[in-house]
Amino acid sequence: MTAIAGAFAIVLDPATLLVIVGASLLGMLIGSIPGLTAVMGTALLVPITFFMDPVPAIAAMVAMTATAIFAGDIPGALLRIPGTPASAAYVDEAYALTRRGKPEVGLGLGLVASTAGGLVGSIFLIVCAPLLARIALGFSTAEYFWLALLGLSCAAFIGTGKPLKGLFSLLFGLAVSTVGLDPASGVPRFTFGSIDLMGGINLIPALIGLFAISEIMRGALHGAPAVREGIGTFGRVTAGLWQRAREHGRNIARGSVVGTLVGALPGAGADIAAWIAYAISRRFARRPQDFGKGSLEGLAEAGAANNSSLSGAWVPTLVFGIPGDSITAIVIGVLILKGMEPGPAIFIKQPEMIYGVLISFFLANLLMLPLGLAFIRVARHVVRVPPTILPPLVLMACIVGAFSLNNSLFDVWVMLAFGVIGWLMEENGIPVAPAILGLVLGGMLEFNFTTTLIKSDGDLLAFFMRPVAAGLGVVTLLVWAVTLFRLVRPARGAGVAAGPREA
Amino acid sequence: MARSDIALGLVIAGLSTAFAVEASGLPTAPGTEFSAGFVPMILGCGGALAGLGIAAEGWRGAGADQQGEAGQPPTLAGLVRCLSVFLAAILYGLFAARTGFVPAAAAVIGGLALVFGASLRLAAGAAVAGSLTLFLVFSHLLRVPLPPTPWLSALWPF
Repeated sequence: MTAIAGAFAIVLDPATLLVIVGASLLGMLIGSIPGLTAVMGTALLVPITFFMDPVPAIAAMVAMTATAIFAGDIPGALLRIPGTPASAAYVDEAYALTRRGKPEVGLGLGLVASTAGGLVGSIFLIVCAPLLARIALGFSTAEYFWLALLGLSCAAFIGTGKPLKGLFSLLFGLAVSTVGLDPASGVPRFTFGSIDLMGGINLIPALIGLFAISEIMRGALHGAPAVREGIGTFGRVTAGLWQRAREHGRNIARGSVVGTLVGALPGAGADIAAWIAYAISRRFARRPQDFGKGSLEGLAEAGAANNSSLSGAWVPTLVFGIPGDSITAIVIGVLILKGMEPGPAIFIKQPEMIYGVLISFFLANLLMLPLGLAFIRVARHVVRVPPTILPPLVLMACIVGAFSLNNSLFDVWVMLAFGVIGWLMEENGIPVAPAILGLVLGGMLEFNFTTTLIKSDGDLLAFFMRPVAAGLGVVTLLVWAVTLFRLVRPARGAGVAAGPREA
Repeated sequence: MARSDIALGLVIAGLSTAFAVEASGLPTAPGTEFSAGFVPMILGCGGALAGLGIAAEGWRGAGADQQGEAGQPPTLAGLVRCLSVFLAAILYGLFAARTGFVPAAAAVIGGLALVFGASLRLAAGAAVAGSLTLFLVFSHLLRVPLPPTPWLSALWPF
């Protein structure tokens, strides 16, 4: 109880509250501008959180991502350009309502669904994370090895829709994580005599490069989405809103649960959650004829799912140190920077901090409702920010952000190099997300792998000697076997859908 | 795109093999059973197999429908814009220490905005507002030692 009281004291501190409000507004802005994604926003926020205390820093990221995912609905509804990929699943429904002269109906319901989804996800996180952490305390290196490998395998094989390219992306990330001194022997690996590389590739500049710089280069090559003129005036957003929300309560509830569970799967982010929830809502729709013409059922269910998945993704992140999606992969870097090593022990060693983070989830999602209602009124002006000035501003923010981490130009070069690598990968249809997860989890995977081998004198059976490890190992091997089987015998007819991009 | 997947797969396989070979040369520290290159070697071999798999998939034409936006041929203007982003970052890194942060950042923002098709007025506005905002946030608020701009300090000594 003392820890929880301490956590409330941290979160309700005026400075923390101010950070949460500021980050929420930033998230609204980022999400509503086509071309800026929640992941890019998270990467750009990292250098600023570097100068904050741990709980405000993490709370800022939580608030920013939650509101950015909702705000992605705004350009989707007004311009048919999803602000973030997480809004892509139901963009046609929201835009159809705008064409019928009712943009406020879709945006209002989307906001309520997002808030409800975020709150359900937060409750799931608050209840499940400490329980799972208690179980995880008994895990040894073998369990952690399999958990990390299972998470990475799901990210590479299931989350991307392109197993071989996902596998290469993952191996690339893991390979990059081996640069620097070998943790076991102290032998320098792939440093090419550079002192800057002895400590390994700095995670944050690499993440900024892979997510933000590569996105700028992609936008530069293919051109920014054209912003159409002529967005009409809005009606009152709250008119009939609560009644509509009640009518679609079942959709919102189902979307929230589906989103939370999908989010908790490593590698599956908000975009996948939204697509799955949208498909489920269509399957069980009361009015299937409305789909594609402004279906509120699909909009409510998928809108709830993408926000609830954000909280779900934090469960494996906090409990096992295994990121649930690209956003939490970046967050792990920040947690480590802030001395909050993710894993079950964090609930014992730093309970105030961790409960503070959990409370900030709840607060950020609650705050989204009034802020969102206010923001929708000014949204039609924000979505018209000239796309010609965004890339230069984002590039400069990336450069300064990367530099500020160690006050070193070397980090800027690292960011730029990874930006080019990320761009080349995406141009060739190679997903970037598995590389990020590999980069983040590489050290943990190698440590647990070699430690288990050393403890057992090289006996591979040691990975299956404990019941939980054996169970996780079997599941992981099954994932690999099924993927291999599907590769050797590809599905006839229907092509594999292109993997969703990061939210 | 199947043909490009064959080339891509072969390049990946080649690079991964080179990585595995380099890893195999890493020494084993005294008293340890596994060399420092043990895990990187596994990763390199895995990468080589993945590369061959991508090439084989390209050979079968299975990757043809998976390219999405990557399948659209880039325009010359797009390539120029893309290269400009890269060059702007490099030029900033090379010259910011000499010119100071604000002029270098303004040049990057304004120049790139023009390349991206902004009007001169909009580009100039973005350059001035963007560089000064970043300077104020990072240098004054967050105390990041950005390259100093002497004339700006003389004008505004705070």
